[in-house]
Amino acid sequence: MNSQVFNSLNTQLSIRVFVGMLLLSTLIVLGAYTLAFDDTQRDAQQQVSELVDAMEYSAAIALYASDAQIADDVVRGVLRGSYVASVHLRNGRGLDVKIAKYPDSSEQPVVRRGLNSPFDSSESVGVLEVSLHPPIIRQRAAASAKKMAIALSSIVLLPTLLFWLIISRLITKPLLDLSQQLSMITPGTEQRLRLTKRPQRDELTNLANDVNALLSVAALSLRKERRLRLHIEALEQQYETIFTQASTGIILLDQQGHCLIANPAVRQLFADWRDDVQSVFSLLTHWENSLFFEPAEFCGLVKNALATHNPQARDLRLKRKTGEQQDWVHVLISCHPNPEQMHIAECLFLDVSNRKQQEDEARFQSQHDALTSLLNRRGLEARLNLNYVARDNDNVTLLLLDLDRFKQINDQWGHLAGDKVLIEVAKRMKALVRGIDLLARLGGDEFLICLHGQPNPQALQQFLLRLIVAISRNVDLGDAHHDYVGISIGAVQYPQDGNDLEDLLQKADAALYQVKHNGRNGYCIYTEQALVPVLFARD
Amino acid sequence: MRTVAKFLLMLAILWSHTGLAQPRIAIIVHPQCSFTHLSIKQVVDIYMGRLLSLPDNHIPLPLDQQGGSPLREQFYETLTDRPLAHINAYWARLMFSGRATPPRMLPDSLSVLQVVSQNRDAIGYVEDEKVNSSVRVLFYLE
Repeated sequence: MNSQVFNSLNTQLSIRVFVGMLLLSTLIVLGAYTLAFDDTQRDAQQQVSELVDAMEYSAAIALYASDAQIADDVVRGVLRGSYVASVHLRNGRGLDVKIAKYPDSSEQPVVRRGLNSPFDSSESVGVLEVSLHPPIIRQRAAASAKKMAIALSSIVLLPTLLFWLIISRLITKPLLDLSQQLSMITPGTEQRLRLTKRPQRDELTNLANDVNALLSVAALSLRKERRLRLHIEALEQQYETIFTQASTGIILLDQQGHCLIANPAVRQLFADWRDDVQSVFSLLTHWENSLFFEPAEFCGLVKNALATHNPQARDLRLKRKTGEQQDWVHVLISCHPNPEQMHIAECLFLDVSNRKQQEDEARFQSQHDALTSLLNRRGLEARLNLNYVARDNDNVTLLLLDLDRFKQINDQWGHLAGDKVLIEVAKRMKALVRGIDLLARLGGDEFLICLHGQPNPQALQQFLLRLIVAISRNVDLGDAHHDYVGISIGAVQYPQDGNDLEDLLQKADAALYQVKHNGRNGYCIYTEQALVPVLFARD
Repeated sequence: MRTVAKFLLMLAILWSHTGLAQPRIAIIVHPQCSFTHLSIKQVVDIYMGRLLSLPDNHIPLPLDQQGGSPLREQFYETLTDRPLAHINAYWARLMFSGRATPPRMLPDSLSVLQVVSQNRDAIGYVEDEKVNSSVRVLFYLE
């Protein structure tokens, strides 16, 4: 506060003016004293000289006549002079009068006057010596200098004061006023500078007006900015809400796979999520190792998106498992340029576990037989396409199977018993085939077994025999009833018997027909030559 | 022309004679006076009361003429080359202090001659034509 007062324009101005004035006055006083001292000294000499002049005749008479009385009068007369310290009158003929007003001192200047006879100007009769008293001279000089200094100082002081007052009133005070007003004004408000008692338009008024104009402009732009900011804040709020409330997990990744930001949904989606992963740890590495079932896939998607700038989308399976249900997320990766001209990948994770499960169920149902849970025809075709036909070098043996006596069982024991027979047959077939082999119910009592690889004829025949034996065993129909079915099998081999599934099935069907036609419960392996069925009697 | 010049010259000479009508003044002392050689300065000092004693313990006795006489005025003015008023002022100043006395005044030159002739220490002044054998002239003032 003190330094603020000290730094203020008014104080500075006052200090400078007064210090300057003080210096000037000091110089004036010094000059005045010197002048006055010289003046006084000259004045003293003059005065003494005049005194001596006045007394000269009497002194000459006193010396001429050696008259002590007159000499005494003369000396006392001269001693009246205010600057005179002592007077000495002597003639060398016995007259010697000396009277001192002040004690002698070496510094006393002396006025010496030789005196001549009153009757003969050429005859010297004696000498009159007058010593001056310097302290008196100094005292007088000081007094005179004081007067002069006071006079001169007031000549300096009064105009300076006047000047200071005018400056202060005309410039400093209004400036101070303006500065105080300006410091009180909050930009953006309707407050403006006001100059009072200034009728004429001078620079200060112009300054105030200019500042006011600036304030108006500032207020306008501040209002605009405030509106804009409010708008932006609202938008940000909305986006923030969208971001945090979204059930979709959102993650932004930089080029190196570092997580820039992740929303709360991500944490719910990934139970394994750790917050420290977000910033420092490479998300890709982390996820490759822990989160995704097939980590390379996610990595590839991100890299693709960053390389091609095209959005990538896929369903990905997570390692995490809740109960028996598999977790799937739909990942949508799009690439955005960020302010630093580096692209960042925006990854959206949509929990699609339920949909995926429903899809899986639907696919299962569409590809499987509801009764036996074996593949149906469509499922088989899909599997064959996927697993076999696509592989050029693989050999596959297709067995087309048809139950014998199934119609009779249906008629005799009812459809439920028929279903039980079908389920049991499917179970027995399943027990005989390997995991990589396919088992399908093509419809009714028709089945298909797809054996991977090409067994040698003996092994195939043995397998077919085991199959026929297994299937034709008695089936428990419930309520202590038993019955049995037979099985007819037509076998074809891919690729030597055909390339097309339809064609292969037709050929297998032809072989099967041979078995049926010739007595049932047997098999026939397709050849280009005559089809020879191998039949087995029950028991 | 020549006659006019001669006349003017004669007039001038005549005028100048009447201008020098002032008499010479003789400084006189007793014929057996001890101080036969006094300078003008010594005479001044004696008359102005400065020289109060002469060698051989003689105390000179200056005699003055009656105040207001032209002879006195001429004497002082010739002797000191100062107006008489100056001399009067001098004596006024000295007399004020009460120590010195101006020379004794005598009524006329005859009295002066008589006193001088009777007093060995006296000294006086008279017109030169009045000088007689009873006194001795020290010198003349011109």
